[in-house]
Amino acid sequence: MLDLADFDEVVRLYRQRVFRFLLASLRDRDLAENLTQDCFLRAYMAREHFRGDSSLITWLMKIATNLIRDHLRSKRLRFWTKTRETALDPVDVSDWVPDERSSPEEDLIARTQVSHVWKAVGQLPAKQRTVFVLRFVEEMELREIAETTGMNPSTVKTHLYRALAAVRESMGGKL
Amino acid sequence: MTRETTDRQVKELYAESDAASKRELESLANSISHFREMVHFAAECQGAQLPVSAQLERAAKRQQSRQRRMMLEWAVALALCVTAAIPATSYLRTQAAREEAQRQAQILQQREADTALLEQVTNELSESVPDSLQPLADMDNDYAKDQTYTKERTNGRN
Repeated sequence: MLDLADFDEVVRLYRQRVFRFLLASLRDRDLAENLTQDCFLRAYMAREHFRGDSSLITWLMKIATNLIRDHLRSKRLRFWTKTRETALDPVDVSDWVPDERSSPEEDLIARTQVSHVWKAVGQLPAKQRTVFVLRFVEEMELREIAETTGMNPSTVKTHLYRALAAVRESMGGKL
Repeated sequence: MTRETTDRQVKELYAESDAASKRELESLANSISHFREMVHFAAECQGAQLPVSAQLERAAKRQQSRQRRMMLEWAVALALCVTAAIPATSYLRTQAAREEAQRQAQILQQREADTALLEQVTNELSESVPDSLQPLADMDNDYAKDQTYTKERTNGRN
């Protein structure tokens, strides 16, 4: 069982990845920060249940996925609550430079492409978005995504295919 | 992960593609790769982080307040349900009483009508001649009277 000192190391190693996954999924910096803390609290409280059957990051991502699901569910019920104020937008990330060697035109094209992908991913159903982010942002294997989401690998592949088809369509490609 | 890896990941899902599609897929892979870079960049732009114990403490406090809020919401919802249920129960009770009174009045009316009918039947049974035979009885009386008068006249003449 992990004690707080070991857990400190776990947080140090995986915090960034969990935060990034939550940020890409929820697009709200404060919310992602809060849920990252919630994720590690849940992990700390349930640390005796971790048997090491899956990797630690898969276990943490599973907790994060459950937190996203709970958050979206409670958000649907709390329809009267205020909208996000700390929402992330690719346009806001003005310091981001696609490639330092690229020309201003290439830079603009890259930003436009990112904007399209961002918009398309935002419109995906929750499961497809989760699978897409885990695959293309967190670079997880299909087997790891299946473990994280509790889906069959074939279902993961279907969701991924559909998500990619939606993104491709939004970029002007054929399905 | 490099751009080539994303390219491979995308192509894995679209294995059977022609040359034109391949170019388009490369462009898609490129866009997704930029998307990943942007998300990584955005995630790295974080402010100073609290120590782990402080982070866990904050999360625990938030969890407690969330639980309290949830309990409060349930309490408010329950109170609203009770508030809505009281007039509804009162209305239903009044409605039930009204229906019962209507039913009692109907029973009373029915009972009165039955009594009247029974009285009529009793009266008709107690008559010496039924109504339908009354004309015959009248004719019989007239005939008897007539016979008496004729007899008296014959006796008077004799």
